[in-house]
Amino acid sequence: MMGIVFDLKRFAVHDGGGLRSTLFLKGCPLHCPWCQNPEGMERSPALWYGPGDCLGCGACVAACPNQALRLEQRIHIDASKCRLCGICEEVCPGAALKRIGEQMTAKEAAEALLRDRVFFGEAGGVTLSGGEALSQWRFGAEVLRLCKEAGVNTAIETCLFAPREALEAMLPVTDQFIIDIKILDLELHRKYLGAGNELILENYEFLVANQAKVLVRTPLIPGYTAAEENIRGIARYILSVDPDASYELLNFNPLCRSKYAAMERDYPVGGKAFTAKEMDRFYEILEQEGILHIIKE
Amino acid sequence: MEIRKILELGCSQRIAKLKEEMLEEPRYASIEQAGIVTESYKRTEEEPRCIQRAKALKASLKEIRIRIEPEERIVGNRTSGVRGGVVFPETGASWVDREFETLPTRPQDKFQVHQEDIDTFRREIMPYWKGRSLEDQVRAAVGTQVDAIAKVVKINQKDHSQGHICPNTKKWLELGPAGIRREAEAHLEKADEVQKDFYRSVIISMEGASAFIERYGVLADKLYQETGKENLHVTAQICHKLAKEPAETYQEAVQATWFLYVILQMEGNASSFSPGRMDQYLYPYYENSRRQGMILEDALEITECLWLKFNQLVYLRNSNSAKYFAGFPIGFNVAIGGQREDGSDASNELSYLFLQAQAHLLLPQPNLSLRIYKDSPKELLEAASRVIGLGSGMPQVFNDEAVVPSLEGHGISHEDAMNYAIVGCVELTTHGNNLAWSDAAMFNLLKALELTLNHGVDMLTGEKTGLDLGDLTTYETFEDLETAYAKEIDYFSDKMVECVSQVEKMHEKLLPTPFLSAVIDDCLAKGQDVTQGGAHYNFAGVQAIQAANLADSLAAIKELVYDKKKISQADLLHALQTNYEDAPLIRAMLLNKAPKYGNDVDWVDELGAKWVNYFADGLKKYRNGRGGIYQMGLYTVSAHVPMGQNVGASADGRCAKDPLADGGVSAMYGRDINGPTALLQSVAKLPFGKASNGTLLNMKFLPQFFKTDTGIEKFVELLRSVCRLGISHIQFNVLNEADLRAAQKTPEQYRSLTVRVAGYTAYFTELAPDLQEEIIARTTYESI
Repeated sequence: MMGIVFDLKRFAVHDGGGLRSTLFLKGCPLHCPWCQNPEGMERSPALWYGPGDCLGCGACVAACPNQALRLEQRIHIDASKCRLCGICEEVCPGAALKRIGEQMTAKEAAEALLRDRVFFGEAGGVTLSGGEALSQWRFGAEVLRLCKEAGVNTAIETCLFAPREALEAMLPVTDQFIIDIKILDLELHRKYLGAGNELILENYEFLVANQAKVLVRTPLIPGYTAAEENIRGIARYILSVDPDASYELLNFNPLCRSKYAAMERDYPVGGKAFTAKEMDRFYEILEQEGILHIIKE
Repeated sequence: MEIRKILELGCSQRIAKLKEEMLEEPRYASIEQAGIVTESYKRTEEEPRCIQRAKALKASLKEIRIRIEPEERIVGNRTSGVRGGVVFPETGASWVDREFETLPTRPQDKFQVHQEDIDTFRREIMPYWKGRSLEDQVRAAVGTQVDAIAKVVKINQKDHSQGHICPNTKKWLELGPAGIRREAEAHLEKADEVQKDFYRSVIISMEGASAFIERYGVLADKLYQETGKENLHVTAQICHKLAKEPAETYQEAVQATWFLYVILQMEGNASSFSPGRMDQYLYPYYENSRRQGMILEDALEITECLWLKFNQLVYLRNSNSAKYFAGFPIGFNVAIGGQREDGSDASNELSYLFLQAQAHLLLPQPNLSLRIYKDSPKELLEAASRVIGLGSGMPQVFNDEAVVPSLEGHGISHEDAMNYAIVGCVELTTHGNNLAWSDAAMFNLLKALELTLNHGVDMLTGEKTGLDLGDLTTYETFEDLETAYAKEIDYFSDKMVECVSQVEKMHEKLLPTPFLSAVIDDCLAKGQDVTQGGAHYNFAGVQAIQAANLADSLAAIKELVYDKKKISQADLLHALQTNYEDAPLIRAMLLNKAPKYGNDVDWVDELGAKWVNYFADGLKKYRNGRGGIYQMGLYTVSAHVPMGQNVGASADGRCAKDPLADGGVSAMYGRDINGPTALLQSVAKLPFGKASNGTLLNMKFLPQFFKTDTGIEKFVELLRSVCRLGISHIQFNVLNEADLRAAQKTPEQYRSLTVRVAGYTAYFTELAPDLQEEIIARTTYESI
C-alpha cells in the first residue's frame, strides 16, 4: 500500500493528546483560500523552492535538462516543463530546491511515525493530517492500523469531505477524530471552499452515531469563518448532534504567508492572529450556546 | 504534604526589600582578606603550610569586617559589601596585578575598584606573593607545557582553588564547629607524628569558625539594641548558640548551613561549594520546627533569605577564565527530589518550598537542580515545569536513571550513587565524601581534528603544535583519517595528564584546606587533607568538547569527500585553510548536503558517540595525583565561545573562530531542524554511562508553551521522555527574542532578567555582547 506524503512533523503538540508525530498526506478535495499548507493541496508531487536558502549560484538552471528553471532575482519554476527528475535538487548547494511529496509504503510511514514512540507515553501518539488525510484513506487506514497494532494512540485531522466507506475504514483504527467544520452556511461554504458541506455534516453525524471520539474545530479566519453568526451557528449545530460535544477554536495563523510567497502565489487573507481578548469574545459565544467542553490550546 | 498551600504562598515584603537592596548595591573588588592573609603568612613563615593556612583563615574570620542588614534573618558574608570580588593572593596575585585597572571595563564579569585598593595591593600584598602564589608556582613548574597544548587542552585550577565540592553539611549541622573541633582533638591524641599537623590545622580552623559565628551574634545584639528589631534579636541568639552547639530548628539549620559555605569560600575561594540535597538533610530540622508551630510562610521566608544569600557571594576570575565561565558563577547547586537510597521517593515539603522560593526570586543562585526518575511524582514535575516556564532556567533537570548507573560504573557504591548531588553547574558528585576535581581540563576534540587534517599545524597561527600524521589529501580513506585522528587524541591526552598531575601536586603543596577536609568523609579518619587524597573518593574530570561539531565535521568529510566525492580532498583542505574565503559553495554544501547531529540520523550521531567513547576509554589508563581515576564530562559552561575562537574553519561549515555548539551535548545552533524529539533522540545515542563527570544539554522554549495546563502536561511528558531516553541532564531556556533585544538596549530595566549560559544562570545584561548574540541565535522551538 503506497501513499504520497509531504511532511512528517515530530513533537506535534496541537494535533491531539500528549506528544505526537503527525503525517501529512498530499491532496485535498477542498480549496480553502486560507490553507496553511498550500503545498499539500495538489495530490501530485511538485518541486518546492525556498528563496531563503537560495545562494543564487544558478547551478540548478544550468543542470536542468528540461529548461524548467529561470534565475531572475530568484528561481522561477515552470511547472509545465518540470519532470521532477531531481537533478536540480542534487546540485543545489543551499538545499533550496526539493521535491514535495514522497511515495512511501504504509509500513515505512508507520515506522517513521513510531520512531518517536518513546515520547508518546499514554496520551500521545500519531496523527494523520494533510492536505486532506482521507483523500488517501486506504493508505491512511493501513498506517493507523499498523500504529494501533504497535499499541499507540491514533488520531486523524480531517475536513470529513470523503466517502462514507473512508470513515468506515477509519473507525476501527482511529482513537480520535479531529474534524473541521469551517462554515455552516451552505452557500458560503460552496463559494469559498469549492464544494457544499452536506457530506461533511452527514459524516460528522455518522461518527457521533458510531460513538467515535470527536473533537470539532473551526479555524478562525478573518473575513471567512471568524464571524459571530458562523461560530454561533456551528456551536448550535454540533450541540444538536451531540450535546456532549468538544469544540475548539483555532486562532488564525498568518505565518503561512511565507509559503505562498515562496510559491509565487498571493495570500488572500489579511489581518493578524486574534488577541487573547478577542479570543475570549469567541469563547463567550460558545459558553452562551452551552458548549460543555471548550478546548483551549 | 501541603503542596497546594506551599505553591500558593506569596513573597513577603521583607524579601522583596532585601532583594532590591542587594541588586542595587554595586560590586567591588575587595582586598581586605588579602591584606589579613598576607600579614598572617608573614607571621607564620616557619610553620608547616597547613598550619599557616589555618592561621590565615582564623585571622580572616576574626578580623574581616562584617555587616548585618536590619531586615536580614539569615546573616553572613565574606566581604562587608555584597557580591564582592575577593582578591585571593594565595592562588593568584600576578593576574590581579596585570588586570586590576581593567576590572570595571572588561567585557565579562565587571567589578568596580577603589584606587586606594589598587595602590595598597601593589605596595603591601603583591610583593609578598610574587613567585609564591599558586599561579606563579604552577607557571614556573609547568607553564611551558601548559602553553604548548593550550589550544587543544585547557588546563584548569592554575590560579584558584579547586571547588566543585559537596561537603558533608549534615555532619556540620549535627556537630557544629565546636563538635568537629572536639573530634579533631580526639584524633590528635592518638595521631601519628605525620598526621598531627593536619589535626592541629583542623582545630585552628574550627576555632576561627566559632569566633566568626560569635562575632555575628555580638553584632546582631548591638543592632538589636539600636533598632529593637525582633529578627535581629533572634539572629543574635542563634549565632551565640551555633558558635558552641549544633542546630536544632529550621532557622538554626539554615543559618548554620550558610555559615559553612561562607567559611568554605573564605578558606578556598573556589568556583563552587555546593549544598547538594538540602531538601533531605534540612528536613529533620524543618519537621522539628513545624511540630513546634513554625508556619509555612515563615519557613518560606527563611528559605528565601538563604536564597538571597546564595547571590551575595560571587567569584572573581581573571578575564580569560571569565570568558570560559561567564557570569561569575559560584555554583551553589541545590538538588531537590530524586530517590532515597532504597529507591523510594525522596521529595518532601521542602522540595516544593525551594521551588516556590525560586519562582519568587528568579535569581541566578542557587543553581537549583531537580532530580527525576521513572516514578517521580506528577505533582513535583508539574510544579517544577511551571517554575521552568517562568524563564529563570531553573530548575535544571537531572535523571537518576542515567546518572546512578554511570556513577556505579565508575566505582561508586550503590548507596552513594543513589545519594548523588550536583556541584557547580552540572558536575556530578557523591555527597560529602568526594574530591572529584571536576574541572581538571577541557579537551577540544575539534581542534585535534583540525591538526590531524593539517600536518599538526594550527590553521589559525601556522604553528606546529600537534603530531604530523599527514593531511586531508594524504589520507586515502576515511578510515585512514580516523586512524590518524586517534593518534592525535592519544598524544594530547598524555600531555594533558602530565600537566594535571603537576597542578594537583602544587595544590597539595601550597593549598591544604583543613576546614574543608573536616567536612569531607575519611579525611579526619585518615589524618589526611583533601588535597593529599584524604577524601573517600578521588576523581579528576576532563570535558570532551564538542560532540556536535565533531560529528558534523566527520560526517561531512565522510559523505561529501570520501563516499560521494562531491568535494575533492584538496578543495576541502584549501577551503578550511582559507576559512571558506573563496569557497562559499563548498561551505554551503557542507552545511546543507551532509546530515547533522541533532536530527536523529543514526550514522551521524554514532560518529559523535564513537569518538566520545574513544576519548573516555583512553582516560581509563591514567591515574590522577590522588590515586583516583579520570572521568569524562560532556559540558562546556560558556567555554564553547572562547574554545571556538581557538579553532579554524571546520568541515561542519563553521567559520574560523566562530563559537562551537553550546552546552556539551546540544546540537550546533540552528542545525537541529527536526524539532526537539529528534534532537533528544540524537543526544540519547551519546555514551552517558561514560560521562560520569556530568553532561549538559540546553533547549530553548518560548514561554507560550507553559501558559496552559495542557502545555504543562505535555512538558511533563517531555521530561518523562528524557528520563526514558537515559539522558543525564537537560535545562531549558524559556524566553523570547524581543525580551533579549530589549534587554540589550535598556539593560537597566532588565537587571533581574536571567538566562542560562549553559549549566548555570547569569544576568543577561551582564553577559558580553557576543554571548548575548549567541543566546539569541539558539534554535527556538516555537509552538504555533
